Amino acid sequence: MYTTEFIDIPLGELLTRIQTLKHQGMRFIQMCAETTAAGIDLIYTFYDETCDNALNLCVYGIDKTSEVPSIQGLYFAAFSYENETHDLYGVRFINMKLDFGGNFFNVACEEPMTVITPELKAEREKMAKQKAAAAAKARKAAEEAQAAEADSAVGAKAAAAAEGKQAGSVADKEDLAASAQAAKDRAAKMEAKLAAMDPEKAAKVRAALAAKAAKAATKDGE
Amino acid sequence: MATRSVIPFGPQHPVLPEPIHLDLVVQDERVVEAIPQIGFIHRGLEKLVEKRDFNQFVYVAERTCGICSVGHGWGYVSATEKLLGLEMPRRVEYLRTILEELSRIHSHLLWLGLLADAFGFEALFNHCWRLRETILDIFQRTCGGRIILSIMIVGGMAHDIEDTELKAICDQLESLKCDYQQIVNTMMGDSSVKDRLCGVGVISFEDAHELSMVGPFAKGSGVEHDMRTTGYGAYGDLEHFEPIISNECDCYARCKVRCEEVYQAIDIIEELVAKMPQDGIGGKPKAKVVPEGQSHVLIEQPRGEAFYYVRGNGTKYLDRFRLRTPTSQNLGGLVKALQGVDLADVPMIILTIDPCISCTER
Repeated sequence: MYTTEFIDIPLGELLTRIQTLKHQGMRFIQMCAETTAAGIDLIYTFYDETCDNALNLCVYGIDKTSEVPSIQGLYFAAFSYENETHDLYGVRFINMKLDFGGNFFNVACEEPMTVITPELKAEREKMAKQKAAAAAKARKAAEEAQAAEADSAVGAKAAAAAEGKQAGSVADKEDLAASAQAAKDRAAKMEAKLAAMDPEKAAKVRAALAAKAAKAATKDGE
Repeated sequence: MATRSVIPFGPQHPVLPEPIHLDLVVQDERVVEAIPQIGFIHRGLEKLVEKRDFNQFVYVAERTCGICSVGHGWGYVSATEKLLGLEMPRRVEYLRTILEELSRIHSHLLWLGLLADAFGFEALFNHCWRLRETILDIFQRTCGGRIILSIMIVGGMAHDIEDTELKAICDQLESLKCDYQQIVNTMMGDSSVKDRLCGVGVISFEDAHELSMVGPFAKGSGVEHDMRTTGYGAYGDLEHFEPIISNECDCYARCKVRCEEVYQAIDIIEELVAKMPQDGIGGKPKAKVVPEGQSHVLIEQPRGEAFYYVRGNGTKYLDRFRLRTPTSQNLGGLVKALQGVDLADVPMIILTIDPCISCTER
């Protein structure tokens, strides 16, 4: 089976790199574009003669003002991909041997592939929110753990001071502090687990835990 | 001095099954230059990846083309499985490979029928398509559909094909082989066919290599390039596999390669059925989202190597699906092959390249 490698290169180096690959006898496989928030990414794929190694040259963040050098002079087969990318993404290629001037595809609107659909936009926003929520929860859990550590240190000092006076109740207090610490540890562990979980599932678990805690509090009150 | 004129050819033409337009610059009935144009049926299927989740999109990928639908489904699921880091059971790979080889037979028989029809051999056309029906019947019996099979899913196969059924397929292919032999002998041994194809539309080995041509178009020029040699799917388990090539570099050589590939496909299917593993057919993946990252695979389709690229973004939708068809890669070769030929030979040359514009205009 073949190996695959993705290499990021700046636009300025594109032609030189492809010239080198041509001299090495690499086969041109394809070129494709993709719309991202930072602009348009171009991916050029090459294979060696034995098809054992694939090389992808990735050029990121092409904008409307960028001029991408055409590789038709090196690989004529690229003419269909360059014209397609021009028509569907609006990328400007220079020095094309066969240039259809934007008439390679008869499309109803200009640069249709640069439009981000509402579905994808919503999904991306949802993902960003989930990531932010997970990060915030992880931060909060870390802060709580730190606070718990500080509390336990203070508690330990107070307990040491009171040790001489209330020797009889030491055992009870130690038990209480230990159980409080264990509860905090359990909460921190649970928080870590929840952060690693699928956000939707984590939200459900949190809701269930909150309901359980509320029920327990009601029982205690009674 | 002879004048030059431009003759528009296609997108609707009696010998063209696909909508491609060519501006043929001719001088004294000889083509000086050919400028292809496509884009009449562009559907924006790649863009649909933003609206269908990665499990649903396999059905869209299959519908890219009626003839290569098996390969498109396989290419998409393989690229997605690679991105998800899924290892397929061997039986899944075997079944997928068998279906792809059946698809190759059906594609080549369809093409041979069209070529016979272009010559005016209507009886041969009928016979070729009659044999093709055998493959379509196999598809219908085993998968439920004649063209769009919908049997491949991300993570495995939607359902199994019983071993008894696979043996029945082998028996059917054996009987098909005899009928096919007669058709090929009639077609390829005919003097009028040789007159029209031998020495026509020559593409040298150097040009084929330079233009990165793929499939039988390149193999007819002696380019020994076939992705099946990399051993993807179940091809790595074959006792022996060697791509079929021909060094004549003309239209006749391309026909010969395709005719031989049908026999090779039958042999591959028979060998794989005999070795069929019993380790299950996988199932839908547990992952609900596709991780961030990118992957690609190459599949040897009937018309040549096809490229599938997917990019995940951590959601259930893929950021990008890219399909590069063999025909897109062969357009450069088509332009080259038409330079300097007689105007009357243009339809034959285009047919022997077997362009699939439906695939190309995803």
